[in-house]
Amino acid sequence: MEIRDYLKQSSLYNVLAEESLFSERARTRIIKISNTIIICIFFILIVLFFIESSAKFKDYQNMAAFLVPRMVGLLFVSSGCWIFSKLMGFYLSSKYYFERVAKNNYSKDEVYTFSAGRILYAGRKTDILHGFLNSEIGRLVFLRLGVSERDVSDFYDSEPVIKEEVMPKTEGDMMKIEDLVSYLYSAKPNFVKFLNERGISDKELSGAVDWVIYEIESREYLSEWWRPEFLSRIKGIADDWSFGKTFLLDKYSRNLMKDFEVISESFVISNRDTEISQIENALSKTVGSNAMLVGEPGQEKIQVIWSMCRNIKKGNIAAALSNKKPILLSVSSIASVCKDKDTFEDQIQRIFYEVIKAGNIILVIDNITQLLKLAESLGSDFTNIMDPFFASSVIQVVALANTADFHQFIESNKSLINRFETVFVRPLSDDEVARIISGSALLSERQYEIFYTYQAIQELADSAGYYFPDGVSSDKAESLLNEIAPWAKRQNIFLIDKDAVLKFIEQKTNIPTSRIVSATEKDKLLNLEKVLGQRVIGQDDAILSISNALRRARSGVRNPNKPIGSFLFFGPTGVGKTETAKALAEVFFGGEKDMMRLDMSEYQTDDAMEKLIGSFASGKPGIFSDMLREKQYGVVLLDEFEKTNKEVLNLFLQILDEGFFSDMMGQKVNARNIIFIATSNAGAEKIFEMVKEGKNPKDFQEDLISEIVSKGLFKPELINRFDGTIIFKPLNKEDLAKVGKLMLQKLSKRLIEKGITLNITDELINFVVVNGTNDAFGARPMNRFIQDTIEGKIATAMISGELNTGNNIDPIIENNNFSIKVG
Amino acid sequence: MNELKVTIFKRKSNWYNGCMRYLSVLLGYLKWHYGKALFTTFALWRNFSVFVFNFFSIKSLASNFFTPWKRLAETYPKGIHLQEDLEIFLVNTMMRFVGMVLRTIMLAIGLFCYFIFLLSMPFFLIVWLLLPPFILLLIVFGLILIFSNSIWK
Repeated sequence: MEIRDYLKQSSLYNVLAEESLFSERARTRIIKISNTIIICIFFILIVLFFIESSAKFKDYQNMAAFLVPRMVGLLFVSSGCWIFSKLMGFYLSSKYYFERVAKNNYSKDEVYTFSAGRILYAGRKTDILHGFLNSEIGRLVFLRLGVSERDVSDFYDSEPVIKEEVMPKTEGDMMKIEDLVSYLYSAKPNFVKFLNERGISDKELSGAVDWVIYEIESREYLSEWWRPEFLSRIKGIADDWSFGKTFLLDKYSRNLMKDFEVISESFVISNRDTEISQIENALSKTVGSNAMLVGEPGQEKIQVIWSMCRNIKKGNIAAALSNKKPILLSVSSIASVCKDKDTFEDQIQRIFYEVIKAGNIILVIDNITQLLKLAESLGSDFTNIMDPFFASSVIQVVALANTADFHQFIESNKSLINRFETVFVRPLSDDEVARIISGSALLSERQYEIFYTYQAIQELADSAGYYFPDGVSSDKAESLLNEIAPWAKRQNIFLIDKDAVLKFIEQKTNIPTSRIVSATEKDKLLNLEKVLGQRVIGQDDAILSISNALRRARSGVRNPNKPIGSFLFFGPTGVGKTETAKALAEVFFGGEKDMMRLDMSEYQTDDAMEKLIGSFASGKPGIFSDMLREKQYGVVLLDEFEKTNKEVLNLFLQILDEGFFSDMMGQKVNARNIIFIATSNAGAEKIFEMVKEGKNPKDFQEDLISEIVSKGLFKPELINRFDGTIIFKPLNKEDLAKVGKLMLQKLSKRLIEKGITLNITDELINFVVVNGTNDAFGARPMNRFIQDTIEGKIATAMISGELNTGNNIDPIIENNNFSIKVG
Repeated sequence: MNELKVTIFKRKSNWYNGCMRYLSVLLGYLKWHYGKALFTTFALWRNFSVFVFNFFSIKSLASNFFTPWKRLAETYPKGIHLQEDLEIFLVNTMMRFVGMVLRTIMLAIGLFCYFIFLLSMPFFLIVWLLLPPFILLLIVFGLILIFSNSIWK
């Protein structure tokens, strides 16, 4: 079916046609112009009347007499236009707003939504893509995606027009704007290319569309301030002159049905159907109809109750809850009044009697653990006193509890827990968090006069989980949003995009977000072999494996719940394992100083865990947890990993899997911006043997690992958690010569700074290799040897005055002895 | 020759169609203005009257007219203590009296505003009914003023 015919199927067609004659853009323009004219004329008229009445300006009075009636005429005409445009706006919006846009209550036989209809109508003569690019919603969507209007209009011009486009089929009954956009994404390769060039994925596109629709709907909704739900929010001036019937309850509580989150449904997004239906089931029981809502500290639990309130308001709820009003009992205000056992028991029982008497109340206790603790501190047996209430059929209670408190205090209290049905609040995904904070972002935009792109909101939601592992992610994202707005204001940033968010996070956490996740990472990953190869000699296979594993781990979507990378290095001493770790620190984090080192052989004893993550009993902080708190990013080198005890190995099992661990105080420590490198000498002899036989490490890797596992050094599941197990082979003579050359070059570089040149001859390199290396320690003693022999000789010569700035050093090797000749 | 005729006809009919479309929207508007919108104004007026009623807490003031000011009443001690009982009775009566006086003032203000609001309804109704001809009048009269020389002399 062609678009033209498709459009005519709906009763909305006439509205669309009418709207196209008096478009919103034209109306707002008329209103703006009239406003300006009216204000200007007002001032001009004052001046003119002044001229007419004053004798001073006799010469100008004729002109004034000529101008005044014309000005008044202009005033009349523009007022007329102003009123007309306003009324026309009311008329048109009355046709689609009340029934359709804001509440999304479309009748079943409708073919398309109004917003989708607008796009189709705009593209009636051309095609859907042009309609979308040309529409108001399309414009807003691209603004939210951070694409400039110029780019969009260039793209609009470059796209050929399709004369007769056939209407795509929809999945549901009704064509929604989401359907149109996903059709565009699947059917228009140029459109996809246009988005991809700007780094926009289909998920971001549809997210931005949802947000824009939500923004329009809530703006329309809030603009109708005369609605009864808004008017009823204004409190009567004499309401508290005389208390009503639930006088005691009112003192300690508030009616959740009157909260803004319940009244203005358009500003709250939630996805809590499972939890609500569980609560419904619990409260629908005939006896003991109570629910215990358990979740992380923060607003999530009350948000579930708000969603339930909205369902009650709409009448979309189980019969046992219909027409009930949830009242939130504040335990803190009870605690502030009740100072002794008698008052407490008296007050709490009277509150419950009042609830029963009122008959239409669902009592929500905001923190049941606090109430239990209060009762305990006053010496009252709360559970027993209240049990008849909780067991009765005449009262419905929803108790809120924090997860930790629940496990610690309530789970063991069997007589209490039996009266309640436990409902756990599911943690939200990053996308859901993004949806929730996108609503708050609109408020923040209005308050601070800034503009968020959709990618910024998504990044805020992701970062909340990624950089701050503790707490509820929607709360954290919300507080990040509250902080970023004033920060941006101070920095003179008005457009908050993804980069601005990362910059903000970087300043807040000292984690170099840009260095970890920015586009430059791509280059780093692509050239990893090259960069590492310059520093690490003779381990081409190992370097290739590391690079591949890192690319594998970092390709596509970053898994936010794991460290950046983790490797287990096997190999004898002095073959470049530590050097590789240092090189990785430099590549990814910008310097060797970002490498943290733990010698795991120090953590063999039973108190190893205490040393690493702190002790609750002594209150001592842990070395490892402190290390990661101070620096949340970098390379952590775990030397001689196999020597630590089982408990510590289990700790790392969790860290490699989840990217965080809890210290002894129960606080989470973030390890998600870390590259872990564990080294081990296990199997070094076997590696020696095999390499001597001329075998490639790749070929005996499996044998080696199964041997290590069979020895019980590592559990197979731990080895599997690492992104890569890398075998470093012993260095041969040529490799050692290269290492020797590299080290001598380092020395020469230092000498050049002093104006002294060292000639590095093959003879010298050979001398260093022969004397500075051995089979057991590889190239490790070489550095020491160079220091002792060569640097020592040179230093002596410098002190004695034999060697001065501008001199050359020629090494002389005789009978395996080193001496220098100054030239 | 024929082609030219067709184009002229087309142009004419386009122009004619355009005019008719605008006219039909305007007619639709008038139908709304004197139909559905009129009822909406009634609904709005009801919303506001409820709001004014609640804002001055008229219902709560009337139903608690005789209760003591902010419930500041003292309870009588057990047993009979003539002088104490009398004192408490006096204090409580005072509080009730204070409450009554303040409520009377508040009620008077509230009811006054409420009636003003009720009376304003017919006025707004008239304004609403006269709005379309008023707009026409504004524009026509404005244009006359702009283009004539003699009217103000």
